[in-house]
This record gives sequence, C-alpha cells and structure tokens, in this order.
Amino acid sequence: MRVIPVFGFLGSGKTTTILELAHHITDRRQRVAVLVNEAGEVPVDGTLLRADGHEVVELFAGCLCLMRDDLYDGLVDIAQMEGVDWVLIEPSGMVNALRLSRLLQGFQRFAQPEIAAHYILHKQLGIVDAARYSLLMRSAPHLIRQSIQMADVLFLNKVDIVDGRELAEVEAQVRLMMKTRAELERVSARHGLPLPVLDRVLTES
Amino acid sequence: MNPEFGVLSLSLEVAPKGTAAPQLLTELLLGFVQRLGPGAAGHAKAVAQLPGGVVYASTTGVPLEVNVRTLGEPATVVDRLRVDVACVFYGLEQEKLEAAWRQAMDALSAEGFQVTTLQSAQSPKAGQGQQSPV
Repeated sequence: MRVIPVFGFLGSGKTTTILELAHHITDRRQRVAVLVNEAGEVPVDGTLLRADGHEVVELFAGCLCLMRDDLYDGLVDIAQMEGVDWVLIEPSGMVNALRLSRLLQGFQRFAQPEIAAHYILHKQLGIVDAARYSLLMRSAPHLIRQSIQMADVLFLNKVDIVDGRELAEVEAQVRLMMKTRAELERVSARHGLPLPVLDRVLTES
Repeated sequence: MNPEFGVLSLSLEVAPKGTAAPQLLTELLLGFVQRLGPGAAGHAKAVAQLPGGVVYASTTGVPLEVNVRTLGEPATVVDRLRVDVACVFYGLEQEKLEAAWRQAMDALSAEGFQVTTLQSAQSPKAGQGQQSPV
C-alpha cells in the first residue's frame, strides 16, 4: 500500500484535497482508505469522508505526531483491510510535519514483515493557504515552513481568491523553502483539482 | 493537547425552526469566527448528519465566508439536528475561544434556536448523553 500524508495548517484545504484525491483513486478502480486525526473528540472530517463512501480510520484527541502507537496501529488496521492500494493520511492542522514524517519513515521497522513489505511512503503532499500566507507566517511560521519543507508535492491552494501580484510574491517565498526536487502546483481545491495534477501526485517521480 | 492551540470539540442538538442545515451551520460558524477577529489563525468546522445525507461546513474566517458541502440528499426540514463541531486556533487562549463560542451560542438562542450541548471536549464524561443548556 502506498501512503500519502497530507500536511498543511488548519484550514489550508487538506480535507477538500483528500476528497478529490480519494475520488480520483476510486475512479482509477483502486481502493483507498483515509486515516484521519480529528482535532477533538467528536468525528467531523471522518463523518464527511465516510459519507462520501471511503474507508476511514479515525484517531481522536491528540496530535498524530505524538501518537506513534496509535498511528502504527491505524496503519496495521488498514493494511489488514482487503486490497487497499492507497492510504491518505489527514493529520490535524496542529501537526509537526517533520515529526510525523519521521514516524512514517520508521513504520517499516515496527511492522510485521508481511505488512512492511507492502508499505511504501509514496509522496508527502503539502498544502499552503495562499490567501492567509502572510497572516500565518506571522502567527505560526514554524508550522507553515515545516509543511513546505517536508513536501514532495506542494499545493499552493486558494489561488482563486488571491490577486496575481500577491500570489507571485507568495509563490516566490514558498519556492525558497521547498526541497530542490519538489513540485509546486497552483490550485483551488474547492473548485476541483485538474486530472493532470491528481495524476502527478499518484505517479512516481 | 498542544497548549499552543485552543480547541473546542462539541456535539450539539439544535432545533432549527425551519432553517435549512446549510444556513444553520453557516450562521453558527460565522457567528463564532466573527467574534475571534480577522487575525485568528485556525479554522472551525461542523457536520450535520440528516436523513438522506450529510451537510459539512468549514471556515478559517479569512475571508469571512463559510464553505458548505452537501453529500447525498439530506432532508431539508427536521425537528432536531445533531451537529458535531471542531474549532482549533493557534495562539489563542482556551478561555477566549470558549467565551467567543458562548457568545455565538447566546446569539443563536436570542434568535429563537434551541441549542443543547450533548458532549464537549472540556467535560466529555460529565456531558456525554446529558442534556445541558449551552
């Protein structure tokens, strides 16, 4: 199973992006499960994803990057579901992306060999809210930077509500923080993600 | 929970008095985020499960609008509605978050909506399954 964690600050568009990706995977006649870290103790994102027809494993009331055992148990549960090709991980927007990335890289050492053999950390997807970039870089710069620095593919989201000059400035700043080989896509997830963009996330680099 | 974040996690029961769920969730979330001000960094989201479908709403407060998504064909008129809510904001004291929420609930009540908190993260055991006023 190929695993894609989706990093991004609170409200950056993770849930919307995951819905789009999950639909695209289903359209390719492959099976997807979503591991959701709810910020609190009631299901909100999980309810939406389940209502949309997806397999969902929910982890409540805590930050995924601090819940190693729960995270690994969730991945094992999904691995034991029949025929899951893709796992999309939605951490809460509070996540320390670096810490979660390390946990995901370490899963193979923890898992039983038959599960570890099928586990692939495919790509890490980062999402940046272009409309709030300046605000968030003043409020929580370390969390925004981490989402950008960890990403293999980065979505600069909500580009439809940002004017051209501001967007160009945001993109320039974001590119300075990205990994050398990471890809950046300008998107508006709520208006739908173009098929080539979805395909780029799912194909190997 | 990370102390840098204020978190509200609640289940509500609302008598919507004829108001459609998308409009109710919009009013609920806007009333809350408006009280936090435009500099608040976080988001608020809510989901209502109705016969036939689900209504989901979310906002960051910037811009001041709520994105609503409907799945299935949820009933438009119901007597009572269960709404699950999650609000997380960075760098905001929990007390401020709770005060803004109480004010938003008071405003809804003043408009004639009956709102009951079924469960909250602050007192999940004491509140679970009990009908207590907001």
